Amino acid sequence: MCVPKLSLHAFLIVDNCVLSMLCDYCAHRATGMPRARLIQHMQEWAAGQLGILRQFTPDGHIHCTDCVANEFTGYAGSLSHERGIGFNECRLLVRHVCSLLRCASVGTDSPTVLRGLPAFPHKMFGPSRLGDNDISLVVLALQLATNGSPVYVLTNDQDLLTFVSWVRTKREVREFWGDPSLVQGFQSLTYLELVHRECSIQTETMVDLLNFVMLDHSRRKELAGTQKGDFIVQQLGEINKNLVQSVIIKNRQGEAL
Amino acid sequence: MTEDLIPIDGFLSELKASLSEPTGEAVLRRINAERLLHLLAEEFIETHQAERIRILPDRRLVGKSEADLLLQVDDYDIRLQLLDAPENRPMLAVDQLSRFLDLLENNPSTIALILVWTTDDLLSVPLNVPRILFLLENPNRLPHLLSSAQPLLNVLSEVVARQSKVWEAKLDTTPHPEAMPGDSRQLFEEAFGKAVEVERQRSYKFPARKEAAQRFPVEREKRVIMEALKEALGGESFESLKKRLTGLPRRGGS
Repeated sequence: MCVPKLSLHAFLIVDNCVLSMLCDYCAHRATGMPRARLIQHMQEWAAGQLGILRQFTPDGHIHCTDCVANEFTGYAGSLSHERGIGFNECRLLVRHVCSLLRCASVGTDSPTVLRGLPAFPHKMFGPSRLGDNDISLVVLALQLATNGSPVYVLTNDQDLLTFVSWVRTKREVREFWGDPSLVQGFQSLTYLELVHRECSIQTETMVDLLNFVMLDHSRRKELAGTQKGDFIVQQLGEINKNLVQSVIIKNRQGEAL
Repeated sequence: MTEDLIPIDGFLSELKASLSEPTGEAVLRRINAERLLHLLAEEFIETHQAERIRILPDRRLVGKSEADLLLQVDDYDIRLQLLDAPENRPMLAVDQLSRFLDLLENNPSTIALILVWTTDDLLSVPLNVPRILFLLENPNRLPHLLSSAQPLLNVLSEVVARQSKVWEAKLDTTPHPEAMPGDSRQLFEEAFGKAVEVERQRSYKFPARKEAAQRFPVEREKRVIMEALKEALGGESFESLKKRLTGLPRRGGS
């Protein structure tokens, strides 16, 4: 079996949906924990997880833009509603998570530069699709690419990932920022799985996270017992099959260390 | 719970690429090319709405599948196969062709397999059974095939256009006289009369048919049909009219 040599040594940018997913997973794991302790537990857990990711970065930071971090503040409301925790406590958690990030403002002109590129995929932009906040993450990635190291953008938004792949092919952006081919978008789960393969996340935790995501997927689409629900179960089977391969790689990496 | 659902298909593709591709660069090429492939395929679908194209990951289909994507167009389909291009140009070995031949022979509804390389502009070539057989017999023509690669959208458009019937319809630009109010009953009667006349003028090989055409009771049938039209316009039910119009006349008269 070939062992991919995909280096994790890269600047890291996270989208707010990744932060929400991690917090949701933590809350799910802590079901049954007294509410009074839950927020503190989540704060500690988030700090631990982001600390793991930080160790792969060249600058020891996890980056985000101000506007995207602002979007994450909305998570306090949904967490409060879902878990019945006081809104102020949830806000504390959100603030804590944001304080673990290095947030920057990219300026209002930068998205305009990207929008002006030839053959810009306008159809991907608009209500319920991509907006300027999403572009700000790409601009930040291009700014970080001027350092000459790879930059990874973690998100769960497929449109944003496609947009990053599109920008990578645009050599014109070098006129303003770094080499676009240094910027790479990853689904957060893919990146976490690669971190797992590097022996920095336990296999049990990775399996549990993937099961949580798939269960959430099935439950929220109300698909249990339907053909689509079966398809999700099938996908989960495929994920697990791939994960077995990944664990073999992980074990080899562990032996080599 | 997270606000948006995580796209599991995308995750699975990335996970598979990270496990199956031989190098980190190949993993990234594959992941990015897949996303661009979807972007371009969706763009193509939007510009060809009349063909009602559906895009599916090929692995969802029953049975053995080899391609990455399947475009269902009308009553045929096109498969897309991603191939790695480490040197940012199309590369293909002759021994890969037999696998593509199997794929096309096992899927009769697939009219073309488009090979798409992981270059920035997704250079592509279409293959079909005769073309593969020709290449297997003449492997020295492979470089020519690769040099003819074009961006995916051009190739897709050409393949679909080749399947579509081209109607040589020309736009009528001559000015039309202003429409005059007319009696629809009268118009129908005239049109019906002309149609019957055309039928009667047909040349028949067998004399019996010619005679039957000449003896066709035009006036009587016209009367029946015009009465039916009148009743239809007056609100008579379709069922009762159908019965009358399709029923055989009584022997010896109407």
